[in-house]
Amino acid sequence: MWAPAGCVSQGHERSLPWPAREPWRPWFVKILGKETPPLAAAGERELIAALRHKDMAALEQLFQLFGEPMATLARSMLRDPTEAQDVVEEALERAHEAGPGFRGERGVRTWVLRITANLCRDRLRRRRFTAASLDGPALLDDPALRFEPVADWDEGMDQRVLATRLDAAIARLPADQREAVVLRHQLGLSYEDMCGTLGVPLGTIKSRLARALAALREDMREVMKERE
Amino acid sequence: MTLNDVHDEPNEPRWLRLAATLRAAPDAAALARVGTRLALRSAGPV
Repeated sequence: MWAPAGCVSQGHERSLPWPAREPWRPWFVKILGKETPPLAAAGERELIAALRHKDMAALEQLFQLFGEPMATLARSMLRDPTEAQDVVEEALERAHEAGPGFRGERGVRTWVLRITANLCRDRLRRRRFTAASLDGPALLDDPALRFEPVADWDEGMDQRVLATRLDAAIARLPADQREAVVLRHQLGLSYEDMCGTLGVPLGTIKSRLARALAALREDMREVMKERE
Repeated sequence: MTLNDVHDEPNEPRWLRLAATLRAAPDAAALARVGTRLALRSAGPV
């Protein structure tokens, strides 16, 4: 084995001719002073392995980890709490059935959201969903929705009311733009994860988001005027 | 990357951040119903 001159391994402790370098440790170890195992990566690998064995405990974990984003996506796409719930359940069933073939390249979250998004699209296609028919319950009336306020909101406007108007504006977007907005701005997915979830190139995603944002600006401009 | 990551891009209006405040909760009984259906399916046709 190669070693710098003056540092031939003798199989025992010896002084080094240069200052000993501290082994690399992640920042949180330096701050907290204790090792934190990489639970996320290990946990994901274990979950993928369990899903491939069609383990029911894996399905439970899937539900605990991703039930909320799945429900949020389905609710925002379909605007029908009952149908959204059906989609979440169907997506879990499909994930269980498809588990043995899942290779996990893009991660579990991307995979389950892709299943959910596909099911939503099927339903929208089936009922010939149009923007005009988006009459689902408003945010404040929907018992399945939870409102988590933004911490540093200092706009002098009631963010709950504004969020309700934004929710309605998102509902008026065409399905492909709505899907992009929900994944990016409601669920906080990266562009990379969005590509995996939607199965479209980055350019398409950016273009959908740009068109959606233009439409939302137009809608929200009216809201802002009302508030003045 | 977490579900709550904020995308502060220069051209994004502040009100867009409120999209992340909208969260739907899945029905807690969903998993039990799925489990029942999967068990029935694996038992095969009666």
